[in-house]
Amino acid sequence: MALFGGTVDERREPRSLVEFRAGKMSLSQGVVTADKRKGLVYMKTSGDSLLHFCWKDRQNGEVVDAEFLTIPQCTTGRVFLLKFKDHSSRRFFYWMQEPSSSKDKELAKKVNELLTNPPEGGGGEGLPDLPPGYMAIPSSQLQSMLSGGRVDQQQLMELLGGAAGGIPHALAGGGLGRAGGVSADRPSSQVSHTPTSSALPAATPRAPSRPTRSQQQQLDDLQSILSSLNVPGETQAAESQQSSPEDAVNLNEVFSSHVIRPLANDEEVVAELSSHLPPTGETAEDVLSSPQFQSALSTFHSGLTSGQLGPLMSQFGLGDGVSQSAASGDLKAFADALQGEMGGGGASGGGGVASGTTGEEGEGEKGEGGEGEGKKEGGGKKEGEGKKEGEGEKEEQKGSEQN
Amino acid sequence: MSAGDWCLVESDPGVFTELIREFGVQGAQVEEVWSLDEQSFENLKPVHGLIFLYKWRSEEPAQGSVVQDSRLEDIFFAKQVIKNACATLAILNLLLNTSHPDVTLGSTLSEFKEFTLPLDPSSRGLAVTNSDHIRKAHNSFSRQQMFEFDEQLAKKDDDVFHFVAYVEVKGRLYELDGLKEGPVDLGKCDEGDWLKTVKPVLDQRIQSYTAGEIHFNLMAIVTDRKMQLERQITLSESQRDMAAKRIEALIAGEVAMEDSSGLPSDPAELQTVIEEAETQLASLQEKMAEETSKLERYKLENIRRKHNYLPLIMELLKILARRGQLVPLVEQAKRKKQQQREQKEKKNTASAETAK
Repeated sequence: MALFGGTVDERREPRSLVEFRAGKMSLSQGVVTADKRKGLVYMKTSGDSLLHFCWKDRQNGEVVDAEFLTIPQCTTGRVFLLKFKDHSSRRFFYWMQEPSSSKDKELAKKVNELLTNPPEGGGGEGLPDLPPGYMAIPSSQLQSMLSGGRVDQQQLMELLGGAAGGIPHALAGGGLGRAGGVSADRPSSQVSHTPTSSALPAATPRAPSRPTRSQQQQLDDLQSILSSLNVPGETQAAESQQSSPEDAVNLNEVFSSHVIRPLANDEEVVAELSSHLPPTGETAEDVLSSPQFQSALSTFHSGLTSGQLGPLMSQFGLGDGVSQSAASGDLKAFADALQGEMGGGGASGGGGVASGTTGEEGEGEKGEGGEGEGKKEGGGKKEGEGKKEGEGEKEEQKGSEQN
Repeated sequence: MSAGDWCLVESDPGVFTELIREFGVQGAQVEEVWSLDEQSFENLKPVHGLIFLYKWRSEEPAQGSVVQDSRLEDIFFAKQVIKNACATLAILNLLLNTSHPDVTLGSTLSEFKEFTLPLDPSSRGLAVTNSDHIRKAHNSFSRQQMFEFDEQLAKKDDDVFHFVAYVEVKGRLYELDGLKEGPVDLGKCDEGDWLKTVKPVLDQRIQSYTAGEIHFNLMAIVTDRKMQLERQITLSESQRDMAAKRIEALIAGEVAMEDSSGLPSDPAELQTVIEEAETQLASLQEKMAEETSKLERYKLENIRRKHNYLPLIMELLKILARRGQLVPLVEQAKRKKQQQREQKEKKNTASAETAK
């Protein structure tokens, strides 16, 4: 973290007062989704004496957000909420990308301090080479400001955990937050979710200024946002850690926001999905990025990998190959089989029908199979050798049969 | 689902609020508690009871002592004998002990209470199963209706979550934990301000968790916010109107009117009273609007929760498969994960080397 040692960029802009790596999140219909780009949040004052809160894409350097704040509130955790006191509809979410969570509290505190006690424009103590309007606070002074506890941290800092996804239902999607002594977390032991010291119980509140009604209101709002918060990226990370040391993926990862967004905006897709959407009048994108859908996806994935979805496939008009691949409990095999049956076979060498141990029989019946059937993990034990080639051949066969 | 099957419900104020309304309870709602400081409790008052959700551990620090005397007649306590019903059980244990005039239990719960009062705690717990109404309300929040399968088989972690209730009964604080033999007496408390007493209990409990495994949340059953706000609005309005009338009376020279309202006799001061009431009203109206939009959001979320997403997921998979995108997407996700893992390993190796 560069407090004053930040980089001075070419345009001789003031150095950042505080900066840290964090990604953006978007809020839609009360659901927060992570934007996976790598970003940087930094704060600076500028010639116009305003305090700027900026977010920059670390990869292409594009500055996406530059908002000056009047009297903002900020909350933090691995997820930050930046909220304006006077525009309740404007909420900005950021998720921490700093590798270690140990500094989260410190960073949040600094941001809050800067927001609450912004450096005054044209201050006398500015470093000589700084443009007018920028006042550098001597670090000693800043330090005392930071440790002075003048801001009501109880009110300003709400540490959030991720939610929904594949969490046991008792907690899934539940409001997870830590404030004062009350805290909740997703039941994974994911390191990045361990509460930082700011989750200290309220036993030691430090003489906070009496929260105003509007502060309380914002907390209320925050609660409501949190109660439907979904952090797909983190949920998946946690799951993967648990599920397999290998690179097994789950459906939540397959349907990441990058995949969902274009799909949900494809008219043809939307038309086909419309009858299956919940009767809330929301857009397909809202639904697909909702924690409830993500949670359903996670349940579906659990069902699939447990091999229990096999019998269900015929109810959706799918053939034995798909049923058997579903019964095998392997996602990739299921994808292969489904794509094969739906005629999208030739895409990436994945068109081969893969199936579990009973695969050969089933395929034989449908007359699609052949000895060289692409076997995935399940069947691979027996026929690991011929796997690759078999798949290639299969792909061609299928392509011609289906189209 | 057979009669004995109870689904897990999500721990969310919107779910719990709808749940208790479906039980037929009026005048109450559920709010999540985010901080144990006085101010947050102040904003929730009156609080009829708290529900604490936590990750169950085989060794919980013991607090208080199990009640075994005649007080059992005054405390409704049911033991948990049904799997997955602990949320509903904690809510019932809480609600059936509240005597607050704001809360109306409704026929289902009143009858249930009456019916189960002569029973022992285990039988009461079992009786919950026999209430179709309660079970249906509970199970309407099932997320597994998508298809029935034994998720236990698929779940890798054996995290067990448990709900307990905290209530005040006749000046004493009790913990009602369906897994214990009886209500746990946590000592004397002020009937009007029992939250003061529960705070250290919760603090202690929360602190017993190490920082890395804090898995809990706290819900409060409070008075229906809109009902409460309406009352406050009526009060402020009448205050304002009375002050206005008094000003008129003063102007008309009827100074003799006795001050039964506690209002000042000075027109300027009365004007201040009116202004204060107006400010108060504006803020109450604002809260009311927020409450309304919150309930609308709950409604929307509950529709989403109850929706069966299976056809949607299948359709989505089929579309992607037809377009030949499904396999590449799975592979892409796999590659990405692989990369992430490799990067992580690289980093770990690097930092390990630096450490040397």
